Amino acid sequence: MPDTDLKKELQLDEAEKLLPLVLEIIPGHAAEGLIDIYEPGSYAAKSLRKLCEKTLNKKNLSIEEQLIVEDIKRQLDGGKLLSRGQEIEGTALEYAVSEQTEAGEKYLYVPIRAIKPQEGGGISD
Amino acid sequence: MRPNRLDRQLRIEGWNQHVLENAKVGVVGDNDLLASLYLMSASALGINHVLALAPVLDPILIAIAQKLNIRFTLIHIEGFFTHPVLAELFKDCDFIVDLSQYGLANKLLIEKAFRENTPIIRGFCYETNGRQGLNVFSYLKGREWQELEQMVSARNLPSHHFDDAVLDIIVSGIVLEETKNILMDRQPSDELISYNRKKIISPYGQPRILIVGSGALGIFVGLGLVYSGFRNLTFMDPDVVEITNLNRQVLFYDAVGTYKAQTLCGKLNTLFGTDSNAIVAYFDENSDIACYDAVFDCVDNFESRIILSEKCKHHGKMLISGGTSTDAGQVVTYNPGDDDETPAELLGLYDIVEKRNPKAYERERAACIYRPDPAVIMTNQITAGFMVDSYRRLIDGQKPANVFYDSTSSVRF
Repeated sequence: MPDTDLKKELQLDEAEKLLPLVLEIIPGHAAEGLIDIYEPGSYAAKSLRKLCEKTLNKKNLSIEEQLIVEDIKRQLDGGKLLSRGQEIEGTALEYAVSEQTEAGEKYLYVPIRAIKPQEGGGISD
Repeated sequence: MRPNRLDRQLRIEGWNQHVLENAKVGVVGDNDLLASLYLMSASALGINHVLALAPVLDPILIAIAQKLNIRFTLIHIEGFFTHPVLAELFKDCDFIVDLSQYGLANKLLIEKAFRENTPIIRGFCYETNGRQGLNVFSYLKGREWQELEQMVSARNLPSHHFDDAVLDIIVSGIVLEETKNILMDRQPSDELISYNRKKIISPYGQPRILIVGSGALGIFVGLGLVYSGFRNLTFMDPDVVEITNLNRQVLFYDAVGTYKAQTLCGKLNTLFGTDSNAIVAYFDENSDIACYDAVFDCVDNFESRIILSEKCKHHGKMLISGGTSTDAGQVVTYNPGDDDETPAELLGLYDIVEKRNPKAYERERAACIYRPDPAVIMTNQITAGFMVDSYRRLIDGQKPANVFYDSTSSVRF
């Protein structure tokens, strides 16, 4: 697990704010999640939570994507969407990190995890 | 008939206790606590046959291992794995756990694993360039990957090395999880399981710490705090020890029927010379936390977690909240002045509790007496280790990320 200094890591320069946004909603700690891409100008003014809702309500999903959405919904039955272990409040830009493809194309990436809290621990289990 | 001690893990779907009981496990240890912690937890899990090559094992932890599980047989050969001929010692072992800190042993064991197709689970903690952390990797023949480079210690021969008991608690829990996966023919992680953070430099002092819940989480939190040097501990729990707790509540081997808080406190005071206290009571709205500097939430229900969150927010106390299931766990911290949200708020516990039908929930809780939830040692051990590490980071002025552990994922956290 990276030891992230979020404020430092998440500071984006103005040019980076014009990049496409890749939003990935991951069920629990699965390796792969549901990926959605937002073009520049389509996400900056919207809250991250709204973007997540939009992504989760996407139609015409492939069978693999449908399975991932089912996993996400299982987690969200008593769980929450978190980004890097924190509540998602505000816009996607506040959570985005700049990455690039192997071909050198830059994009912004926001990983969201659907996490179900665990109840057990000690007193009477 | 199987002993009731293992009842809670036998309830896990697909669990195969038989392979654990009959496995022969080889362990290569070093001059530190890690191998002993692994052996104690392996014994609790019901592993019965271990051969350990290590210069020294911790007498307290090994005594606990032997008292927890009367079928636990340990052959301890004192020494270091510094010659290929020593590999013969492990010829009957199903796999080898390499917890050593010298490259010669790491390389000899990888060579043996490659040549004889014997799985190796390698785990250790380290300090380098101002950072401290841990690595775990499961090597099976065919996994001659770049990750192996990170599994070989820089120093070739046994020498003084960094050791941290709290990181050891986490490493030994993850290595035991991989042990179970290999023995039960489940896929071990195909990633390097890794965690690191800034080196902790501030002295801890002696803060007054309240640990609410003296079950599996509370015990490993207690051990982690004691090994870190904290002495001013108070344990709170209303319950008595049951035989079915003993697959994971490692300090209660001779204490069935006694109060958990009192027993845990007594064991730590006797074994480690602490001066801890016990309160036999439920934590509720009337519990007084004013005199404590930090609170550990090791309880087993969301309702109590909400009360703990609210009280810590009201009194401005640090809260380290941990929760587990058989295959997952989370650690969420609250540092007043720094965090707006409490663990209960962040995890959405109010919504969960509100949606519960109180009567149905009461019936479920009552039914648990007869049909209890499954439980196992590893997630508790790992989560508790992260709880103590997060607390140490908080008092060092760091901001620890919340930890969400999932044993079914390759990356784990």
